[in-house]
Amino acid sequence: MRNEDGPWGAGGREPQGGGEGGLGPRNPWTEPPGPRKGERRRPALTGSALEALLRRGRERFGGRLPEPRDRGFWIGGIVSLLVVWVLITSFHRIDPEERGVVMRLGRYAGTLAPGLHMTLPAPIDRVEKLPVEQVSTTEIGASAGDSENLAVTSDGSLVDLAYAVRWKIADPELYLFENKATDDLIRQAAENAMRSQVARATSDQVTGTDQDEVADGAAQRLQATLDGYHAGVRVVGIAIRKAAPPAALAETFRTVVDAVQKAQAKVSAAKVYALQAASKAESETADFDKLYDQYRLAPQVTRQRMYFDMMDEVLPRVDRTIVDAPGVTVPITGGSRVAADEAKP
Amino acid sequence: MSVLARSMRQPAAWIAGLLVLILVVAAGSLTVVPETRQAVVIRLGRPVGFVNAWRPGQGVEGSDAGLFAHAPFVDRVVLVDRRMLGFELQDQELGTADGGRVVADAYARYRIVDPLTMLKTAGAEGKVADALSPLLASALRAAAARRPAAALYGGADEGLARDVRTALDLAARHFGARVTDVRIERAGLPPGAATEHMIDRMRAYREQQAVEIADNGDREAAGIRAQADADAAKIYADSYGKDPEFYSFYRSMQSYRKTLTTGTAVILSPDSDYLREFKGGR
Repeated sequence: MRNEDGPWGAGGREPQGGGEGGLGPRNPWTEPPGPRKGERRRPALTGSALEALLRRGRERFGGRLPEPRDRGFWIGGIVSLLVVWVLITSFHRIDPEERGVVMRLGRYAGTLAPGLHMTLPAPIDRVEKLPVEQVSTTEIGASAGDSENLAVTSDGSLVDLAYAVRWKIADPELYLFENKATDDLIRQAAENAMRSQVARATSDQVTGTDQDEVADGAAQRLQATLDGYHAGVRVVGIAIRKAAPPAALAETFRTVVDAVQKAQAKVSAAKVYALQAASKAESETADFDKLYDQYRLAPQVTRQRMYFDMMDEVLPRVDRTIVDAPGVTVPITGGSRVAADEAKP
Repeated sequence: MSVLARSMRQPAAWIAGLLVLILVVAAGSLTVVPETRQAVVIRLGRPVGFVNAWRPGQGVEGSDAGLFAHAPFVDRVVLVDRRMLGFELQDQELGTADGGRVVADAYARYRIVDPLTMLKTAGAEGKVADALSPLLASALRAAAARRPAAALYGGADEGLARDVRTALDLAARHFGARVTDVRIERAGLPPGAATEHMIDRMRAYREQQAVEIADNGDREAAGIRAQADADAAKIYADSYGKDPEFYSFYRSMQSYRKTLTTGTAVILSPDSDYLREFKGGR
């Protein structure tokens, strides 16, 4: 039973009218007649306006289930999709570390602070969320493999460099609108800054002693360059991951380190020797000095005492022989060997 | 009666058709010019205006970005990037004034300030970098040939970068662009003989350094030992030298203690001092 009327009813008739066979409006609160052809259930749609629209659609078509070909269904579907679209694209949540740059039909229309915000729906308003406090890291220089990133130092040496630049977006508008491909730019400018700094330092400074100063100097250079470009970026710092002599020279550098260690060891040993010699001299002369003081007080007595002390210690140990008269030998204890020799024929 | 004829009689169809027509015309006469773009309006092959042209020192507040209305269909709106753009050159081999060869990477920053000229000469935005690249290369070569190799290393030579930028900027105006900065990212020795030579030189220097360190260490250690010996000798001399004869006696007593042990035969004469009292008084 095709309804030959247009979507707004037959020509001349009011839109609210219509019903089955021109009987007048159907009571919208009763159950609609069951499905005829087409088992499709209508999708559940929310919104009272929507329901009213659907009710009118039902009335118009005499309670039949609207089929895909019926324009009322299409209008209802499109409107509901639009409402959902507007809801989704009008609300924006900006996290604390983000900012949202709003572009209205292409034109900058403000920056959203963290929180929940409502704007006009897309495609009228477009919000680009940028991380503002989050630190990004750009790694430069080979950190894997054997490809080297050699830089020249002030003393004509080569250093294999690998470093990381930590930066964050300081000004979201500048970051978005001033430069194209700002991330690439950071890498290019960083190479220039780092190598300028390394070229002003000696090889020893870069590989060891003053590495932090080199990194800080390069970071300042980089910040100045990026500010000149209005990049809207703040350089948090540069961390040198590797600053080593070229691979071909690694062994030579080990030789140098070895030589330093050996030389230091020799000097330390000499110092120990010096201490020992000094303390030995001190203690021996102290003994002598004490004895000498006693000797000065009573020379004869001290000498005799020393002599007999020595004899007391020595004589019991040795083979003693006393010669009483020329030619006669009288052995004392311990001298058995000598006596035996004499006794032999 | 055909469907079309029936539809044509109804105002609803007319309204719908009119709406569609309005939409199509609107789509053809409205263009969104983003903040990052400037636009040239070309009507039937002739330029008639600019939108959101870049001006130095202008921030986002003063821009004319947004929805722009123009004559439908006859106007062609060409969007051109108004941001600062860049391109890179890599592994350029440059000859220096002292006959050295340097391999360099460089980058340039430029901006399209005259989009109309750009369109006339380069034809499209992307072609500008293509046109400027060989110009940058030749400017680098020209500047490098005037300087010694050492001046190029590390991008430390601001004079060279300035020379190159000036030359490139002049050339870029032809394309409706201005070059705002040129920098050398890296400048090093070409791989091969020159690098090997430098590495050999470094190796020899370091080996010599190692020998020097060893020699210095030996010398310092010997000096410390010698000084220690001298200091000890002075302590001994100051002490024992007070009475050399007594020291001789003292030292002899120590020596006898040490050396006269079992197995040694000691012969004592009755006239010896040791037995003097033994013989019975003087």
